[in-house]
Amino acid sequence: MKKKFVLLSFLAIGTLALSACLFDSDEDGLGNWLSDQGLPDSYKVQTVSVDGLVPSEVNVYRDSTPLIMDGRIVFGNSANMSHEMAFEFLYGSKKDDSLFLKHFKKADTTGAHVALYVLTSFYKDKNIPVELLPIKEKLKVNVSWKLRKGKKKAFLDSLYDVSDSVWQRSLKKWKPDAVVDTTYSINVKKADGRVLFEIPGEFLDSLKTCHKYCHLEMRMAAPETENLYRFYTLSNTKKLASFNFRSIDKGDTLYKVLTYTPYRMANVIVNNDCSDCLVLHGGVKDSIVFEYPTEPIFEALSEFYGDEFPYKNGDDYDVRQAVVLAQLTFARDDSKGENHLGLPIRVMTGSIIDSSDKEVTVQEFYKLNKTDVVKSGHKNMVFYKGDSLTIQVTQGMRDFLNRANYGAKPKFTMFLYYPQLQDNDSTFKTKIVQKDTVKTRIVNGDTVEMKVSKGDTSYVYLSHYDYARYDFSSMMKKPATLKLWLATKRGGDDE
Amino acid sequence: MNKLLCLILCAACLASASMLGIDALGEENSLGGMANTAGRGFAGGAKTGDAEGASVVNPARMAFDTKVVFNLNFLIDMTTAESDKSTYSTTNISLPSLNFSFPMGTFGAIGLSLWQHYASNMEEDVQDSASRMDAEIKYQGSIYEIVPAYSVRLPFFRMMSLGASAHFVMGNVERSLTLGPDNSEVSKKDSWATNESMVTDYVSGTWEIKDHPAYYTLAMQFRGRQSSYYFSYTTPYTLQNDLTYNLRFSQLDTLKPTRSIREIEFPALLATGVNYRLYKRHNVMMDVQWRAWDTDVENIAGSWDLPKVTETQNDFMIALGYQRDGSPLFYESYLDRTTFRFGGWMKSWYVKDVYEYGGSIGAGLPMGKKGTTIDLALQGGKRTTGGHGDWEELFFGIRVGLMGVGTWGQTRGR
Repeated sequence: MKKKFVLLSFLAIGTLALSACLFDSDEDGLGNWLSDQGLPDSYKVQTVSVDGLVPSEVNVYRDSTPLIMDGRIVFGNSANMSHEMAFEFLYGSKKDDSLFLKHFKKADTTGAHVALYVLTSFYKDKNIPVELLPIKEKLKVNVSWKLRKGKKKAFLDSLYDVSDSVWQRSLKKWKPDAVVDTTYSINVKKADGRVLFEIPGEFLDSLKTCHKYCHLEMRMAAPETENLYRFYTLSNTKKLASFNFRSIDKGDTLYKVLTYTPYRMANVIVNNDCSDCLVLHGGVKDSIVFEYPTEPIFEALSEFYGDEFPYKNGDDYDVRQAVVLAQLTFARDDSKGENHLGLPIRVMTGSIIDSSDKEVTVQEFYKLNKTDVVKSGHKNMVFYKGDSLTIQVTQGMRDFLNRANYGAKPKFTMFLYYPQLQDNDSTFKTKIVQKDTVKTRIVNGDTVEMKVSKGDTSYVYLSHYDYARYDFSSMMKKPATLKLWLATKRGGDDE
Repeated sequence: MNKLLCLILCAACLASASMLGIDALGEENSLGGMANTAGRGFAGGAKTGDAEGASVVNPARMAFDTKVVFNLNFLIDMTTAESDKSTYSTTNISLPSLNFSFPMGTFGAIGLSLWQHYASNMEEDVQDSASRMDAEIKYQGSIYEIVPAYSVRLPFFRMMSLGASAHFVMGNVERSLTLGPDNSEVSKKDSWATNESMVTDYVSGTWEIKDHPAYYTLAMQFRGRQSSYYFSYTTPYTLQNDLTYNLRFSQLDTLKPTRSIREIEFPALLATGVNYRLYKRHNVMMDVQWRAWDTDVENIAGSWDLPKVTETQNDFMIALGYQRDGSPLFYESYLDRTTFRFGGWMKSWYVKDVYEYGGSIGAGLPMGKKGTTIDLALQGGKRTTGGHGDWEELFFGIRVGLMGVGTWGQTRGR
């Protein structure tokens, strides 16, 4: 055994010595060897521009499904769009309900109101360069409701089983028991204020017919106002939305009060734009989908490479290049759009690609051109200086070039995202501000100075939507430019 | 033994043997890369004995064995590629073959080998001088063969034996080039777009024989009192390599793979050899192998500046060797019981203009009474590469073969 180990040790030492002396590599040895074999140590990048692209098909998709609003809700009108509020209450779920209802039915004076706290985080946000408050108006509201009654607990239990999507669908086919128009004097002065909507008397009468258990759905619409109110709903426990009932008998000094938190709240959207207009709204699930003809892209690529594209090699197609980055640049005209917060709005981009023979939308990554961002801001924003919009469609184009021979089409989608706060900041990350600075923003032609103090947090986006409106029709009519950065496998002599 | 295994395992992740033909088939492990054969310069296909074991080229030889042989081979290989400008070296550890043979007396002998016939292996990081980005180059390919064999001595003409083996081919191949961008053709203001964009050109595939389960070797062996000969013929076959390749941005972000099939037509292999016994236990031997390639070998995947095919030439090997057999008697001195070998070979590769000249010395060290042997071989040589960018390769290898011998099924006195 010992002999073996001695032998092996000698072998190992010998091997090491040999490899150290005889079999040594010099610094560029491998690199030289690789290049002599024709092996690359980098991929060649080439850029190709395709001008004059006009979509062969453009569609705007509007999702009119009511949005469940757990944290905040909007109410009113903004940019040709009405936002109605819908509430759902399950009465009878609390212990005191039946006692209170008994009193409520007989009481001399009764009343009810919906109380909503204004969205302090929005109205107090220092990053918004426009004056948001005060809002004072006579608000015409159209209140409608639907009441279902039950005597047994099973009735209540069945209501708990109704899923959000079922409720959303039922809101689309809204058939109320009663509709009442009423007017409120609204005066919101402070960012931590509260708005009370007194409920019309007709409702109280119908509530009195309630048995032990009640299911109340209420909807409020304000189609005529020019304001959009933002309220807290159900997630901030100190600022919960509530329905408050009160009753008092003659001679009593104190009201009996029952406060109810809605079981669910939703925003019902009414879009007043024409259905085929190429208009997108902020804060809702609108998107525009556009598709380009393949010929101009193929032509440009085959001209660039000097052979057919897609390239056929024997019976198979040979994909010899991959898209490292792709950018689409449109001519931009913000004049037909409408935004309210005085901040640029990021346009998010997705590509519609094939995944196992199914069309899926993938959200595009965004690669920063830092020097350019610092100089002239991000190019993928609207309501900003400049006259073009540049979106990155890398994954979409990558997929398209790869599957070009299988009939793939370059198909993309855009939607309006949050207003962008770091509009020309190269970091593109939430960060702590290092020194006091003054940032200027241009709002409706006026320059507004925004102070940023040392120690403040600088966010990439505002955490509230601008319920804006943007018309893409001129953008889609004017020719766009596609720029491709291609990684090629093609060698010098090979082709 | 544990230490040795440990060393082998640790070094298994090192990069490879010859870099020649890396885009085609890789390097051939001649004759199963067996340490005992390599010690005598890859000659001795005709040498018979009582425990010579299975041979992938001469399956007929086994019939003369009287002992069960299990044989496991390791190779530690150092290669350096040299040109006028620079040198580049790699080290590799591999396991070229595992062989098992089982003689059954009058019923002949059966054998089974696992043979890594061709192997390409390379994993290197290289920094691009222009972009200073690290490129990663990886080749990993093996064509494995499982070779069951049978041989039997002729009933009345006992000095003759016939043998046949089937080679079932399997294995896979992978090439992955992870590269950073070369922005030399892009205007400076556009170069931001490729920041940190590594692209991997990835190819992988599997090997099989086209339209057939295996290819076959037929051999005939003659054992004379002083001279022994063999002649073997291996059928031609077509290897099929199903490849998928694509460009990857990350493991999850890949393109739809493109498929292609490369077919490699292997011509028939003719091999012959002679062993001449000079004196008791002293042998000289010569072997010749010849495979006439008439088509080029398509490379794993073209593009970049890599050629589409590897040009071929006649694959020819001539080997000369000497062996002094160790004494089978246990009471003899250790040196007497040790087998000594040396030899040399000249081989023209299947890759055009590549010629290999090598020499080796070896020893079979008996371990214990039962005939268990450790075979050691040291080999070295040179490969000239003619038209391959004036690079030539120097190689040095240590082969270790572990041979277990048993006498199962043999009656005493046979």
